[in-house]
Amino acid sequence: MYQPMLFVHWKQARMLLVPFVLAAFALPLLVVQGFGAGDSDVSQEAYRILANYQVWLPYFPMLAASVGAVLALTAWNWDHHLGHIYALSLPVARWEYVMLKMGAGVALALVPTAAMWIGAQLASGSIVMPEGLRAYPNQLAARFFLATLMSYALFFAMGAGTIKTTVWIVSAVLFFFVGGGLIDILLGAFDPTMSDVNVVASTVSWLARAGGPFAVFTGNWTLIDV
Amino acid sequence: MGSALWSAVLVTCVAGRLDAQVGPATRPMEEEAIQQLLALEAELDLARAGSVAATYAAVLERVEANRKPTVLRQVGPFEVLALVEQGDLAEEMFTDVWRNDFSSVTGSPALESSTFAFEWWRTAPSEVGWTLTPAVDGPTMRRVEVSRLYVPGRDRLRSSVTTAVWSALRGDFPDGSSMRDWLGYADYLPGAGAYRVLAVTPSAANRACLAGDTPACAAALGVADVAAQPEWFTREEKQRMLGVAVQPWMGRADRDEPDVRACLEENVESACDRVVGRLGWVEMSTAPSSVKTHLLWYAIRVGGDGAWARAVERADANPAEVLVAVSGQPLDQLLRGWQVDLVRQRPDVHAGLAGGGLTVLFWSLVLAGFAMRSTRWRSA
Repeated sequence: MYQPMLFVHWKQARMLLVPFVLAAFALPLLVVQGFGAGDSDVSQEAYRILANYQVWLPYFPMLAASVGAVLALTAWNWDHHLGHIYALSLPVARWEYVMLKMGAGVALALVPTAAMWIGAQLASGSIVMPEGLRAYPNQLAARFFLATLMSYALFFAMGAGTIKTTVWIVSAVLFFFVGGGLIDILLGAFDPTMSDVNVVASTVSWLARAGGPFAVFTGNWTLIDV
Repeated sequence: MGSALWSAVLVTCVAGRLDAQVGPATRPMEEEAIQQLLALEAELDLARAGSVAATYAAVLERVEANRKPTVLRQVGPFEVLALVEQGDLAEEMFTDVWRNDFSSVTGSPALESSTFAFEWWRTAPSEVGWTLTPAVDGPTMRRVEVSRLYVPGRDRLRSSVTTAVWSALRGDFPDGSSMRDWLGYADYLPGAGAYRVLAVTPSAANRACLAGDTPACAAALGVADVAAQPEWFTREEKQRMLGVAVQPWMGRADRDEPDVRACLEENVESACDRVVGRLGWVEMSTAPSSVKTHLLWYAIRVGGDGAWARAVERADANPAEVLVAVSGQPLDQLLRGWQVDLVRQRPDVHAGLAGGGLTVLFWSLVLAGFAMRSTRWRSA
């Protein structure tokens, strides 16, 4: 059952994945562009490499989030088109169907991850590393895979619902961020000891902290570090 | 000063206009206008002073209204002031920092006279110090007031406490002493942090030091003749070193000396080498201050009992001599040991990635559970 699910998902996602695979391959190579040629001042090299990397750093988690979103939306695409008849016609339980579908997406996430791993290996092999710095292509690819999975799982759960449910969830999240100050005031009025609590900041901090779902996005994305 | 200047400008303008319009015959009117302006200025000054006083009174009132009961705890040789509900936390943090980082310090006048005001806010510091302020005025009071928004975890809080204790300790080296100038004002960093700043600071000497070259470490840290190995330093780096040494408060080189001028103004590298070579040690070394601090604490750890007191006694000596006296080891041996220790503490930059995998797995399963319970399926 898994193989057909994987094949169907692949057919849905492959054309959309192409630019992301190319980007995953090229991004590490772009980061090291112009370094390690041996003609630059060695005393400046470590600083230049790290400073240059900071410019590119946000693109790695953004790319992982985008790949996850594309995979998740294509996972449910044909179900939505066919009114979920295909799923009901299969001799599998609902939970099994969802897990198979999710598993197919996880397998497909390996494609851009592999592209990033190859790109990162080539990038780190192409420069002479200054003393004190090291390349981490494996760790970067692993983090990219985990972040893609997290994004995939999030959009997969949202994609499984109706548009109405998704709109409700997104609206609730937006309301929370916009109206967070109001919540703080209400909490303060209800209990004075809560008057200095910042709900939005605390929530964001919790989501991005170790153990939170988005911690993988806020971690260290460096290909080259000490 | 500002208001006086404005008045002068205003008076000049008015006087000029009066002169232009009505001529010298109206001199009494002009003087009257000046008197009126001066009176107006006095009134404005009074009003401004009143406004400042009112603001200050409002602040005090607010402080009084927000004042909460505090508790004073003794940790090692110093005291910690904290809100009653944070007293245990404060004591725990300072005791941890004292035991693990600074317990080898004995006989520190600066620390013995210090009281640390500790507060860990739950939100942004919108009302900085309102609760502790009335109790914390004084030259020996040091604040560790941080927001959980920026310092969310205990690790970061501990780091803030460490920095505060180190800042107090640094006071044992008098202003203007060689050790004070050499150490600078950097934070106290653990080994991993010191390794990172040394590795990313642009300098060939730093690179060579990390590779295990002990003389390069001495030169990078500014405790040896930096001109002895000219290939490690660029002309700009030597000019920076000299630029600090000629400052009046340093007074280690004469700006009018021909070699100094040739180095700083005419970019003559050989002149830089001659002058910097004469300095012996430099304040503005290529290794950041936090790395020098790390070396000092390594020397103190190696030196054992009374190491800090030995450092303070020799605060005015050449930093290399101080390090030797503190550690009881020759400089070369001390630097070799320190370099090995520093490299061993190289940070694990991707630490927690495996744990991150488990976290992602957990959240993915939770979200998959939501997907199984989707409204579309239930309505189908």
